[in-house]
Amino acid sequence: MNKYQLTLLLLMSIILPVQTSLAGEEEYEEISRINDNLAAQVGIVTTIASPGTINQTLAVYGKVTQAPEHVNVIQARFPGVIQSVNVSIGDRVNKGDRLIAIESNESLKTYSVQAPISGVIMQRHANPGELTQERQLLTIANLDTVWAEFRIYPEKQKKVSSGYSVMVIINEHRIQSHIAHLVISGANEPYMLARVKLDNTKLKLSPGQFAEAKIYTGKFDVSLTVKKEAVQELGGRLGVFVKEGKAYEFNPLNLGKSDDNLIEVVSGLEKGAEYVSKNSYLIKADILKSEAEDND
Amino acid sequence: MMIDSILRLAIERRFFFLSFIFVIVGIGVWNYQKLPIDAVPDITNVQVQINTAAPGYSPLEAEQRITYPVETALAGLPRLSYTRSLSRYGLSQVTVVFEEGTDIYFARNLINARLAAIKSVLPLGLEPEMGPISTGLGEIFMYTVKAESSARMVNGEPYTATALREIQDWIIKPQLAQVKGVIEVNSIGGYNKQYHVMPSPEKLLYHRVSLEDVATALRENNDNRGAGYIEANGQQLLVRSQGQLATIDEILNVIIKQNDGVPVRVHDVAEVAIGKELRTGAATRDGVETVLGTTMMLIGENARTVAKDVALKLDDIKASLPEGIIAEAVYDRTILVDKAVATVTKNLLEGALLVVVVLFLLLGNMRAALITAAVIPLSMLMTITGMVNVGVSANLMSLGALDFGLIVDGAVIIVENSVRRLAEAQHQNGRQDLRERLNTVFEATSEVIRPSLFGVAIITIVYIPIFSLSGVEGKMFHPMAATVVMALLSAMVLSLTLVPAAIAVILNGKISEKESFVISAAKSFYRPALLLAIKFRWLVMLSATILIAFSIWLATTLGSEFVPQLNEGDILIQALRIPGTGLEQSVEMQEILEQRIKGFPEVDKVFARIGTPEVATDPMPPSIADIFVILKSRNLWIDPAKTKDELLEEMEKALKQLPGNNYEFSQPIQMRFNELISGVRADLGIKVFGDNLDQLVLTASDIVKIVNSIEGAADTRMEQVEGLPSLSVNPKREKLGRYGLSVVQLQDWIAAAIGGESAGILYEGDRRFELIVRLPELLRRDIEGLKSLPVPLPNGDYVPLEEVATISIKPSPAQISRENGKRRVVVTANVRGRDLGYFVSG
Repeated sequence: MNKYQLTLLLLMSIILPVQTSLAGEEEYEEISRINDNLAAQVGIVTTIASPGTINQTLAVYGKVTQAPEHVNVIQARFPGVIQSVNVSIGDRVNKGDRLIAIESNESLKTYSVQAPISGVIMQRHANPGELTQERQLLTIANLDTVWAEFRIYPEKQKKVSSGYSVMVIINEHRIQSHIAHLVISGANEPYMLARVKLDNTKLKLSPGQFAEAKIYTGKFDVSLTVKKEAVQELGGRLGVFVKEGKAYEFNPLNLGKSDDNLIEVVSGLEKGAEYVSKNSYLIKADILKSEAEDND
Repeated sequence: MMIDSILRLAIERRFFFLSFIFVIVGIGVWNYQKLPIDAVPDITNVQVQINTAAPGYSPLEAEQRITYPVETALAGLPRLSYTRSLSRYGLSQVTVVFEEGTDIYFARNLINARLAAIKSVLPLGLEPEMGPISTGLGEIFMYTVKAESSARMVNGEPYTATALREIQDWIIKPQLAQVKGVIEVNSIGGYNKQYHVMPSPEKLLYHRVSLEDVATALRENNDNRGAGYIEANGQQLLVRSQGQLATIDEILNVIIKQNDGVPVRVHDVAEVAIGKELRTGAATRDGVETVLGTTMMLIGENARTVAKDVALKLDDIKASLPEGIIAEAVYDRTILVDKAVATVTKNLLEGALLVVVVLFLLLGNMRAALITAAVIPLSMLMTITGMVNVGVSANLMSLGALDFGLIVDGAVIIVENSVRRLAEAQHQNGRQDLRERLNTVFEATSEVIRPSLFGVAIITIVYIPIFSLSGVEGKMFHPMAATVVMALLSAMVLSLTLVPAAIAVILNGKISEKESFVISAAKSFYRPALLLAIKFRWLVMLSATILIAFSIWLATTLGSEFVPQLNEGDILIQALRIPGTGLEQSVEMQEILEQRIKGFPEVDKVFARIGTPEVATDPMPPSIADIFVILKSRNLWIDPAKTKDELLEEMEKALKQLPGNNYEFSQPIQMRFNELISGVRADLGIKVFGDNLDQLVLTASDIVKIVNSIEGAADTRMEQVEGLPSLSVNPKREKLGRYGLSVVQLQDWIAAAIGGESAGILYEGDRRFELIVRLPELLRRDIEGLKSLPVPLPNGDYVPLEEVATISIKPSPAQISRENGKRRVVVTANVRGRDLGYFVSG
């Protein structure tokens, strides 16, 4: 007796058939039923589908450059001998300050060169006693305004044009501005440069610094949006799970534009529908769970 | 006659023969110490797993670059039965099954030689490793490592999963691995401690440094070198140069390069922190993430002893753990084995006692009853000796099959006849002298020795066909048959030798052969019954025939509903989520699931393995969890009468409500067996072999349709092949060319940026930790953001990733199974309400 039981017992224990269930193409119901308590427990959050604004952005990188209109190279109007130089590198000058005194070769009169703009002396090549010839004597730059030049590669060139607002990020500083103009880089490079004017009176940026920017490539007020994290793929289609009572049904959607958080619904969803916005993967997993198996 | 001469010898040299008792007992007890004891027979076949961890390899690549060469290398091994393989993300596993009876060490040696030969064929840095020398019964002891909520690390912060894993890997594991009989301590859960250097892409661009530069700089600034020795004034001086990095600060200060004379240090471009590895598995306990250690036993060891030793060692280790860290055993095979042994012992003892009582009642002679009963322990000891030598372990199956009624069968006949003859002789001639008595004993014995031996021999023969069973059935029933046959043969030898000798010695003096009350009562009932039966012989025959017919009909209804199992006492639930589910998502779902299970008052502990442990003994994807539910002992239940099935049903009901999980209920050992033997687990399996995966899937789905159309088909399904979404970053070759970038350069950058690149090892005493360079977690996770990541160009410039590569999410194979070197897809079906044979032929 004992023997028989054991025999059967052990035999059965190893050949115990494993429950398997139906699966395959389109054979599952696209509904999952979960009561509200449980849904809250497992972290399912729903949101009402509503109109919204889609802010599309584009991340680009570039550099800070001097503003060409604020850089002045000083040369002698009449060639001559430099008598004196009143400023040195780093000196701040105001427009009209006398910078250099030169004795003209022709008139042998001494005339002075005045600062054409206010700014800082960047370079000095002039010293008393030297001939001016056709040399650059001083470079004055006004860094109160600088430009950030961002590279726009061919993939994105269609999406960007001048006038777009942009968030420039340099050394943790965030500056809201807009693209002044889009120019060809000119250096035989494939990218274009989006130039953004920056007020540098407080930032003290130096040309050559690395810059990052988010270009707002489009702002669209659309009639219906859902959260991006709500969208799941099921049977090759994208959609959200709409809650009705305890049932969560998959709603395939026709999706339009999107940004980091929101995505436009072109069709497939009613305004005011309650859809799963957080942990939507759980619903997908629940609907497909009969497909889950161990393939060892 | 030989039998007669043996008998005569046994009776003549009775004391000499009886002295053999001491030998039998001595050898028996000695062998008992060595007898492997387990709960159930080991039904694992002779197999070797070859695991190759291939970080970052997709299933297709793992198959193409690793699985295929390994499989091919193994072809033609002597005594090879078959190979099967599995290629998953980051792992290739080839299971090599050998013919029954192959020596496992021989097999491993062969494989080792072959693997050494193909080293050059495999991708650089990948190392195929053989799995632990263990079996389905090998997972004998599991423990979790957790921190008390008040416990703090050295830096004053609460313990992290990484810190716990460090304790497991570097304090607990090395010590447990020393226990005799332990072949492997497998860790799962937490994170392997790694130092992560995470450069920000802008800063890299600004300083004109590439990821590769960072990795190279770290590699070249992290070494200790010995430079031989010098002799100075007769003294030997060793020369060493120490340049190893030890702390995060030191890493931050490594100089990567110089820009216009200004050094660029790691801290200029990157943050350094203790980071999380890209892990393949996690563990949870009672709804919280934890670190789980599994101790695996060497083949052929004694499960109970090893598990006990491990438990003792773990107690020792506790003293060396940091304050507030708890290592607690959660699964201990000893408990199950003890339970099984107790069951068997109880049954055997009760059986033996019953036999003694019945013998006494029937023989009516205490001494005679004791001689007969003595056959039981002696044959048991002989059997144990035999089991040890044949290599059969003691378990429910082998010992449970012993039947003492059968064992004493031969002895009873001999003893009974001797008692009768001796009593008769005394009755006729008064007291006999020794010679007469011995003669009577010889006659009495030889009179019945043949039927007695035949009886036992016939019973023995019945067990012989069992030895022809092969495979799992064979492994299951061979031990039982072997044990029973050995016990019966021992009994046979005993009744031929020791029993007559004992009768000759012990049954002296006055022998009363009184019919006991039981016998006389039975006789007084039997005689009239027998007469009656002979009188109405036709009626008796007829009713007997009807009874037989009825029984045969009953036997046909003995149905498939009768499915009992060996109750291991613990429950194993496999929670299955859809393929492609991420590990973190799986852990989240698991935590909620475990809180539910813990809610049952009958549950003592619940813990789970999710995904694949460090040593891929059971390579599960992250979407699958093995949940161990350890129940409280029954007397602590609120309703001790509740059956396990009822509990399972309640549990299933409660768990079914949770969204997104599918379940399979089983038991720990049972599941391991299933996984290792890994046949098709449905009634009918159709294997489709081929090379083209798409075609295989197409053909298989056609087969599914056809099978479905056959009457009686149920649960028809195809093995899951597709379903793992992957992010493909495919190079645009023309663009790459224009920017002067090669495909390899791009791929290296992607691998380093997203997957991480190893840049050496940091040592802390015995412990060693990897130094990894990869992008910060936030950037890695942002799929849209990846598109605009700047890829450095050889000329020092950069280009956004999407400019030189297309980025898309595509479904890809989740795993690729192969058998005997061919790709394979299995279609399985169950058959309901129809004969399987007809189903297959129809």
